[in-house]
This record gives sequence, C-alpha cells and structure tokens, in this order.
Amino acid sequence: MLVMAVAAVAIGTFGPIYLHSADRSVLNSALDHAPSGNLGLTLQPAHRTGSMHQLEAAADKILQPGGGRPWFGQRISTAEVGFTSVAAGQKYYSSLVDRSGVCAHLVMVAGQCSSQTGTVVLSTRSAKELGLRVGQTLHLSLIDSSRTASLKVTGLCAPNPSSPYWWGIDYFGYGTGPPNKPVIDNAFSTTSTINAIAPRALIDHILQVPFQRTSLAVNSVSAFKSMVEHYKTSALADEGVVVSTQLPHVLAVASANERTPNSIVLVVDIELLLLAAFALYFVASRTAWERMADVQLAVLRGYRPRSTLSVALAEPIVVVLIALPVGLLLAWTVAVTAATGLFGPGVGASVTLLALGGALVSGVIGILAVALGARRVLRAADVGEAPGASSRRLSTWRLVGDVAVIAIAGAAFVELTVAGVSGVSGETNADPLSAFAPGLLALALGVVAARLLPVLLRSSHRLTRSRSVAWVIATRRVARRPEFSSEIVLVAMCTALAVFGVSGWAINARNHTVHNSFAVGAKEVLTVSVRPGVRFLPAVRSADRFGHSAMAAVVERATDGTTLAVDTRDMAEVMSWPPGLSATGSTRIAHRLVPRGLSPPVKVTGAALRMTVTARVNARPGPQLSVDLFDEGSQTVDQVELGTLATGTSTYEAPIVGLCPATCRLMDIAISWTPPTITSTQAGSADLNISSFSELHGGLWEPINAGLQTLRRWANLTGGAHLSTSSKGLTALVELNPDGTPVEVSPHDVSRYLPAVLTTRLEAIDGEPPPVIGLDGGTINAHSVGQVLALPRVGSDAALVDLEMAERFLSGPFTYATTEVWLSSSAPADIVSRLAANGISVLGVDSLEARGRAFDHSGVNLAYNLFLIAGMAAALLGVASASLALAASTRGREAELAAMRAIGIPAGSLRHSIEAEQALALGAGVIFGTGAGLGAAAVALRSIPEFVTLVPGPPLQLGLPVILLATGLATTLVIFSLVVQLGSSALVKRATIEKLGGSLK
Amino acid sequence: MTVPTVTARSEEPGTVAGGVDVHLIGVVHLYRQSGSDIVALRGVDLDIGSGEMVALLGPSGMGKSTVLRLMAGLMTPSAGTVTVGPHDFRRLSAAERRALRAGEISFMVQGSGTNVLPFATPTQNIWFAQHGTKVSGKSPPWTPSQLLEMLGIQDFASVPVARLPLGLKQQVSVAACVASAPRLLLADEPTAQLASEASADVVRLFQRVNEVLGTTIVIVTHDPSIAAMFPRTVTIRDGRVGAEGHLGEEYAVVDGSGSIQLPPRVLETLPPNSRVRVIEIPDGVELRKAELRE
Repeated sequence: MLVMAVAAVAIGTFGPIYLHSADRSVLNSALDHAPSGNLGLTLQPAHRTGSMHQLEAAADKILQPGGGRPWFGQRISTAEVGFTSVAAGQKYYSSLVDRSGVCAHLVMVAGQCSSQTGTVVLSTRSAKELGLRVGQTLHLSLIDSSRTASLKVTGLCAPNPSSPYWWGIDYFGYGTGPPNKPVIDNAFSTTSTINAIAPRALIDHILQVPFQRTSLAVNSVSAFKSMVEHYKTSALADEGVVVSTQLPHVLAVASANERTPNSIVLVVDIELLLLAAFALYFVASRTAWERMADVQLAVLRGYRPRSTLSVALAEPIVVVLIALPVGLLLAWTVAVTAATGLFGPGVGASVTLLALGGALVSGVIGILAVALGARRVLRAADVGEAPGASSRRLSTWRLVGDVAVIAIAGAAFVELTVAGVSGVSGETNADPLSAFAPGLLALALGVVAARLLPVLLRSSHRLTRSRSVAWVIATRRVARRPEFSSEIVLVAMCTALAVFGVSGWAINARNHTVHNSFAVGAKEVLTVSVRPGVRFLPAVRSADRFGHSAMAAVVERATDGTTLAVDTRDMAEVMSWPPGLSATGSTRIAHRLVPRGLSPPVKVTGAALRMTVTARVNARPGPQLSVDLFDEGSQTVDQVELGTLATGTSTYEAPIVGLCPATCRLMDIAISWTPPTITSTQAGSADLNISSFSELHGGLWEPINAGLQTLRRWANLTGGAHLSTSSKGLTALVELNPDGTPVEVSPHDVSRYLPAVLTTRLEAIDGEPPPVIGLDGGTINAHSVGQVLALPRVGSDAALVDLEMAERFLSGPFTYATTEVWLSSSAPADIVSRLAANGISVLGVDSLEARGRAFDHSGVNLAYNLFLIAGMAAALLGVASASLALAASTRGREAELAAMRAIGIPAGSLRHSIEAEQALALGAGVIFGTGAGLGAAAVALRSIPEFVTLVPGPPLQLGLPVILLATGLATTLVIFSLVVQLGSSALVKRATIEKLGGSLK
Repeated sequence: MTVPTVTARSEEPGTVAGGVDVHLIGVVHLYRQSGSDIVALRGVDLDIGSGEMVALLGPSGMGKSTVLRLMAGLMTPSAGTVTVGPHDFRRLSAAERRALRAGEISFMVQGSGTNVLPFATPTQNIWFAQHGTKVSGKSPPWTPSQLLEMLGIQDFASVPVARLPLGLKQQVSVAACVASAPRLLLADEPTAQLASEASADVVRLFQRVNEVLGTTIVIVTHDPSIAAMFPRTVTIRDGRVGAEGHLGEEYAVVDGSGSIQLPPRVLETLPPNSRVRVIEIPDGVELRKAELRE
C-alpha cells in the first residue's frame, strides 16, 4: 500500500514540477532559438540629429529587477556611415562602422584591428574584391555626400556573421544587393575616423542593450513585458528615442507555447492521479481484511465509532502520510534525473507551491481512496447486521454506479467524436468532458469487462463442463469473488492509459518529425549569397561533387504569392516530400516540371556576333535586325543591333564586348520596322534565311550551336512569322508590324506556360492558367502539373517550378529572391567550402536537426513526452498493483488453499488455478483496456489542437504505432505472467495442511 | 505487586466491582435471510446469578452463540427480554450497549487470533482492551502488568502474541477480555482447538478470574469435560434451554410456559407425539405413558 500511496503522491506532484520545468524549458527554448537581434533593446534617435549621448541617457532609465540577476547586460554602441568604393570600374557599396568592443569580436586573419584615426579593417573577400591588401589605402566616397576619404587598411578579418555580437545585423552583406549595385562587407574603423570624415547628419547611431536570457523568471514574464512596453512609450515621449525590440513578441510566443502543454499536463496528470488513487483503493480494499480482526476487536471492546474508525484507518492514513514526503521526494528525484534530457541544459526541477499543493491533494485523494477501501472492514465489523441486507444495498449501488460510469463515458466519447478534444478546432483549451474521455472510456469498458466476465464464465462452465480442477476453481473464483471486478477495472484502465499515452506520443513524434522536415524543406538548407557574376545553378551543381546531394533553390516572395524554383535534377533526392502530400511522388513531379520537347538554350560567350542572312525585303525603310541577349551573370537583358535588313545576302556583325562576361543566352532574333508614318494600311514583309550564326573568340569566328537547320529548335511566340528550315538554315517569312512591335524568332527553349506545382489556394480560377511570380518579380502564366496543400519550406500560396525553366523566363535580375542550397543527408562534409570555392557564401543555416532540437523543448513536445511518461507509469502501476494484490491476498487464501490440499487437490492444480484466474482477470482487463486505449487514440488524437493547428502541409499520419504497442503489451504480459507464476508458486507452497490448525474462523 | 481487592462496583481505580446477574426471559431470536427467516431461539428463559460460572452446552446450530451475543448486547432479541444487572437491553441504544461492552461486559469470540492483536505483546493488548474504558472517561482498575501478574502470565508480557503457543495465546485473550474488569465475561468456545492441558489451563484462568474478580462468567463449549469443570451447565437444544447441570448432575428445566424438554435418552420410551399422564407426587410430578381408549 505504501508503494501505491507513494506512486499516487509522486504522480500528483510530478505534474506541477514537470509543468514548471516545461515552462522554463519553453521560455529558454524561445529565447535561445530567437534570431540574434530579436532579443534586447535597440535604441535609435527619433531624428537624424540625435547623438549617442542622448541614447545613453535613455538607456540609463531602463528598469532592472529589484533583486537577482539584472535583465539587461552591457550596452553596445554603433556609429555607421555609408560609402562607395570603385575597383576595376565597378562601384561597390558598403558602410564604415564603429561598434564598441568590435576588436574583440573580429576574427583577424592578417594585420591588426583598427585603433587609430584614419585606419580601417576589411573582410578578406571585400579586400579581394577591391584588390586591396594590408597597408594599402581604401579610397571611398560617402553616400549622399560629395566627401571622399582615404583610409589605411590595417588588417583583414574573416566574416563571422553568425556571432551573436552582431545582433543579426548583416554587417557582412557581401554578395547581396542587385547585380548593378553589388554590396561588400562593412569596413570597421574607429569613432574618431567616422567623425573626422563624415558630417554628423550622415552618421547613424544605435545603442543596443542586450537581454540576459537566464535572468528572467518564468513567473516574471508578464511584469517584464509590461515594463518593456512602458519603457518604449516613455523613451519616445521623454527622450526622443525609438526603442525597437522583438522581446515582447518572443515572450508572447513563449507564453503561447507554454499554454499549450498546460491543459494536456493537467488532464494527463489528473487522469494518472485518479488511476493511482484507484490503484490505491484497490490495494487498500484487498488488504483491508488484514485489519478486520483489529476493527472487530475494537467493536467488541466497546470502542466508540470514532475510535473504531481510527483503528480501521490509522494504518492506511499513516501510510499515506509517510508517502507524502517520500512521493514528493520521488517525483522531484525523477524530475531532476530526467530534467536535462527532457527540458534541456540549465533547467532543473523545483518543488513549487503548486507541486506541494499537488502532493497534498494527492494525499487527500489517497486518504479518501483508502477510506473507501476500508469500508469493507467497517461493514464486516458491524457484527449485529444481517448480511443479506448489506449485500442487497451494495448490489443496488453497484448497478447505479455502473450505469452512471457507462453513461458518462458514452457522453464523453460522443462529445469527443463530434467536437474533438478542444471542442472548437484550433483552440488549445480542452473541453473537460472530451479531455477525460479516454480515462472514462477505459473505466467504462473495464466495468463492462468486470461485469461480463463472470457471466461468461458461468455460461462457459455450463457449456464446457470442464473436468480440469484448476479451470473449475479458477472460473468459479473469478465468477464469484468481487475483488476480481476491481482488478479487471484497474488493469483495463492502466492498459488503456498506457496504450493511449504511448500512441499519442508516437503519433506526435512521427507527425512533428515529418512537419519539421517539411518546414525546413530538406535535411539542411543554407541561405547563401552569390558572388556577382557567378551563375548560381551551375555553381551549385559544380560544388555538388557526387551529384544529387545539394540542390539550388531560389525563393521569390511577393505579397501575392511565393515561387519556389528548384533544380529538379536533384529534387527527388534532396527535397522533403512526405507521403500523401501529392497524388504522385516527387520523382514524377520533378519530371513534370520540365516540359518535354524544348530545345537547349542558345548560349553566347564571345566578343562579337555575326549573322549571315539572305533576305528579300519588301518595306521602306528597311527593318532593323537585332538580337536580345540575357546575361546570366548580371541577369540583365541587352539588345544588340545587327543593322538594317537589306535584300540579298549580307553578313551582319556587332561587338558584344562586356555584355557577356560569363555566358549570355539568346532570347530572340528580332525584326522591327518603323515606317515614317504609322497607318493601318501600310504593310511590309521580309523573307529571310539565316544560314550562319557565329561569335568571335580570340580573333576567330566560331559557329554558335543554334540548330538553324532544326525547325523544332525555333519558335515564333510573338506571331507574324512563318518558320521553316532547310540545309541552308532557318527561313522566316515575316509580316512586319507597322507599329514598330518587333517580330521575334526565339529559340524554342521556353514553353508558353511554365509548368508548376501549385498549392490549392493558387489553383486556377474559371479554368484560366494561374499566374505565378517570376524570379524577376514579373508574372508568368503557369501550367499546373500538380496540386498540393502546401509546399516544403514555403507553405501555402506558393508555386514550385524548375529553376532552369524559371530562369529562362527572366527578363531582369532576381528582385525579392532568396538564394538557397538545399542539402540531403548524403551531402559531403566539405560542401560549404566547395560552395565557397564556386562563389557561393553561406549566410545562414536551417536544419532539421536544429528544428528538432528546438521542437524537443517546445510546449507541445514536452506535453507529449508526458503522454509517454504517463503511459509507462500506467503500465507500471498496473503491473505493480496486480502484483501487490496477489501478494496481499496470500495470507487470506492460505487457509482456503490448505483446505483444498487437505481434501486431496494437488498443489500443481492449485497453482494452475491461481494462474488461470489471474490470466482471466488480467486478460480481460488487458483486452478491454487495449480496446479502450486504441479507440480513444483513434478518435482523440486527430482532433488534438496541436495537430490541427499545424501549418498546412502533409496530411496527418494517424496510423497507430502497432509494433511499438505490441512490443509494450507483450513485455507487460511477460512481466505479468512472471509475477503470477512466482506468486502462485509461493502461495501454494505456504498453504500447507498445518496451516489449517492455525487458521481460525 | 499489589493485587487489587474485590469490592462492590466502584469507580475508584485499583478496585473491581465483582459480578453481575443476567436474566433472559422468553427470548426469541430470528436471523433474517432473503426468502426465509431462521429461528435461532424459540423462547429462552435463563437466570444467571452474580459471580456465577456457567457453561452453555449443546450441539452446533442450537443457539448457544446467539444466547451469548444477546447477553453481550451485540444483537437485540426479536422478542423477549435480556437484562444484565440493572440494564434491560431492549431499552438501551446501540451506543449504550457499546458503552457497556467498554466496561461491564466483555466478549471473547471464538478463535485465539480474533481476541488479540497478533503483532502486539500481551501488555499492549491489555492497553488496547482498556482503551474503550479510558475513552469513556473511566480508569481501568489495574495496569497491564498488574493484571498479567495477577493472572500469572507475566513472564510473556513482552512477547508478541503471534509468537506464543496456542494455549498461552488464549490465556492472553482471557487477560485482554478482563482488562477493564468486566462484571460479565462471555466466552465463545474458548478452548476450541486447544489440547486438553491447554484447555484446562484456560479454564483454570477463568476460575482464577472468577475467584479474584468475582466476575460472572458464561462460556459456550462443545466439550462436556470442559463443561464439567464449571459449577453450572446449561444445555441449549432446539433454541430452548434443554437442561441444566449442577455439580455433575443434570436436570430438566421447566420454562416460563411450563414446557420441559425430556432428555434424549427418554425419547425411546416416550417418542414424539406420545401421550403421557402427569401424576402429581409429593415432591414433584411423574409422567406415565398413556394409551388412548378407542
């Protein structure tokens, strides 16, 4: 009984301790995983004329807590002025920055940090871009000013943008900015240098006040948030300082995350506590007879009712009182032991007032349970009462109780089925009736099993007429002894809660792993910057040594949708594409995103172009012949005029020096005509045959692989031309547009519609092809090749396209695009350095592992971990109470078994009878409990808010963890059978015939 | 050690009150069962004097234990009157009957294990038995050790009862039952399962209690040899007082309605439904079998 009482108190106490630690863990996790710069306060003058002195004065007024660690740490002041610098004809954009303590945080790789006026530190890659070394001079021009300055480079540093010292501000923005305004990393200097070269109005001052993450107590969060909000208002009103911070938002997210487990922990803990109380009642009632003699003696000795009651209850109450500190200690020990694993480093386990309250409530419930369990003793001790009346009253109450339990459980289950756990989808406040439905269902099914089994056994006995003594004894005992009813109910409840808890935990873990993977998009996603002039897609492919482990991706985010363009060559191997996301797999989707029959693009890389054209022109003046080239490095379109088209065979040439430093793609050959006066009656035509197309390389004209003899490689998307090919080349019969609109003959390397996988919210309306956002911010008509609820990483309102195809639709640079490299689990360890070698620098990393770590300490996960703990605790409780009950019944059954041995029933048969009766009771409990647990899991888990409110993504996988459950149940049954075998052997051994002499009455 | 003196009933500590008389007049008792009632006693008339030692004899199921329980106030009779000293049980509430059991009446149930706490020592058992008296605001007349010494079982005062042999265990039970110096001691089969020597020890203890304390003692037994050690025996047959024995001689008893149970051996001569003539003789009556004229 002490074991049960300790378990009940420990369970009642563990919930509040767990909840407190979970709150701390969630808060820590929210603060730890908040992006750098989202924590702390950033102070800026409301007007440009503001000074650092003004910011310092405002920072002095930040409140700190009365005691304990201060909330805010040492301030960081920053002065910054923008500048440009020209190298090799290219103007680069950057800023000159002084930041307090910067020299301690710069990773110097050459020279020294800047400490004197007129000196500067550059990053290695900026210095390389500018062609500077240590000791040389940086010539700069201030932005928005005519001032120039020359600063001596005293050192070179390696970019370390991920250091929290930078507060997430992109001081190392190398590679960002549009191709025509390339940005290099900031240059670091001193305040005196900045003040010397820049007028005060151009210098931006900020003061950052870091937040000490571990200084905030869980119960001070609200007060802290209020303080921050109040300070923001007063700083602006009183000091003219704008305070920006994400702290309230981060803390609000943490608070919301903390609320999530509250209802779950409460429900799980109460259910477990009630289960423990029931187990305690069960054990108390099974051991009650041991105290019966004492109580009867008290009655005989004329004790008053209160004194008799104390004789009956003194022992169990003392046991519960002893269990209070022991259970508290046990819960705390378990929580402390598991704290690091469950809640992360730095989170301990505290015995809060709530935990003490939980222990007391558990103790009270425990005392009530043992009091109920002892009622048999009091009733039996009432020696004057006729037995018949008592049993009639009991049967009536039992019937009423059974009906009530089944009715309430039925109502709860209906409520759960109809309205779900939360009642209203998306809310985290659980509907109490639904929330307790699993426990109630287990109780009801346990009661049904307990009442049904005796009836079945009586019937089966009549039908089978078994001659096995063991079986006859076992079935009659189970059919007639009331204590088996409570054993069946208890085992059913324990089994149901164990099955439900383990199922909930497993399903949650599986779904959140899938969703985390879906949210990241791959095992790891690198946000990268691309060196100006470097072609992103080929660079990633080049860095991916073995292929299919690194995928180039560009995310174009616009207000009306997001376009995710990926290298479909690697999509199937790299991208997370959970089962059920689409009707077909990712391999087929990847194939569909690349239209068939397109010709390869026509690439131009030379210094000049030459085209041999035989033409018959019927227009005055002659039409203009030009080509449009797309520079894939700078992502700009250039029109190259080849000249006026004239009748006869002519060679048209034009220099393209500087236009295509890397590679250009031929967009089209355009024939445009501008008549002197534009009238609708005017007409003109030109028939031309392009027999050769070549480029100048090193003084030699080399043919361009344009497929002039292959008709399918060319298209006329603008209309106005009839195309044909022959061995002599490409022939176009062109009807000239009198309004000057060019007639374009294009390589057939793009389709009319861009194939795309669309999320449901972007689907076509009225059958019209849906527009998607191109990588240059323009609109592209798409052709849907698949439909999903959401796309990996970008979610809903998004389209997935092939990156190479999307690039062919470019008519300008990426606008709001983020370049990313998605990595599979087989990506080589040196992929980052290989990317760097190909001109791709990593700015940030998002990984499944990091999200998993963050999720480990989220409120939802901590809540579901409690499901697992509760499940295991329920299983242990079941095994322990069944074992204790068997042990407790030993003394009471000695005489009975001894009497059977005395009349010649073999010990083996008696042992088998005990095993059989336990198998019947435990088996019924386990079977009905498993049914209740599976039923509750199947209905309840699909409506649990944490699943329902997940971002749109792959469908929930609600399949029950059959193997896990089967293993758990098998293990439990093995333990049960071992306990029963040992118990029955011991019991029969002790029941010797000599015991009959010593067993009185 | 000073042995307390026996006096009239007193509230003074260290003194005991002696015995009490018991009267059963026309007592009928039915055990109510679902479906049918069982008649346990059919009209028992019995007078037991103060300080008397009586053994109730009779076959199983004839109502001996029921008589004892009625005397203890554990049950109320279906009809008739049970008085113990000045107390008419019909007029007493359950609480008042309980209060009597805390002081004046002690009941020793069948089986040595049920009258004592097996895990406790004799001293502790006597303390436990005296608790009811103390709670009622009265002081027991002796301490546990005084009582044990008085009964001659002080050598085992500190040994848990569970470790004692059966006979000694039963003697401790007797000690526990007289812990509060009851005026009426009722014992149900106190020698059951005891060897003859142990049984004799227990009876001798009863006799000592009777001598020292003057307690009225009524026991139930199956064993005629045990009954023979009591100065008076009462045989209960078919729910009535069938016979009485005094100093080894058995007598039939005329009850309140004038009925008399013939000894079983006489039934051969006078089988059931026989007609007899009742002939008065100078010192009694004579029964003669009568033949009815046709």
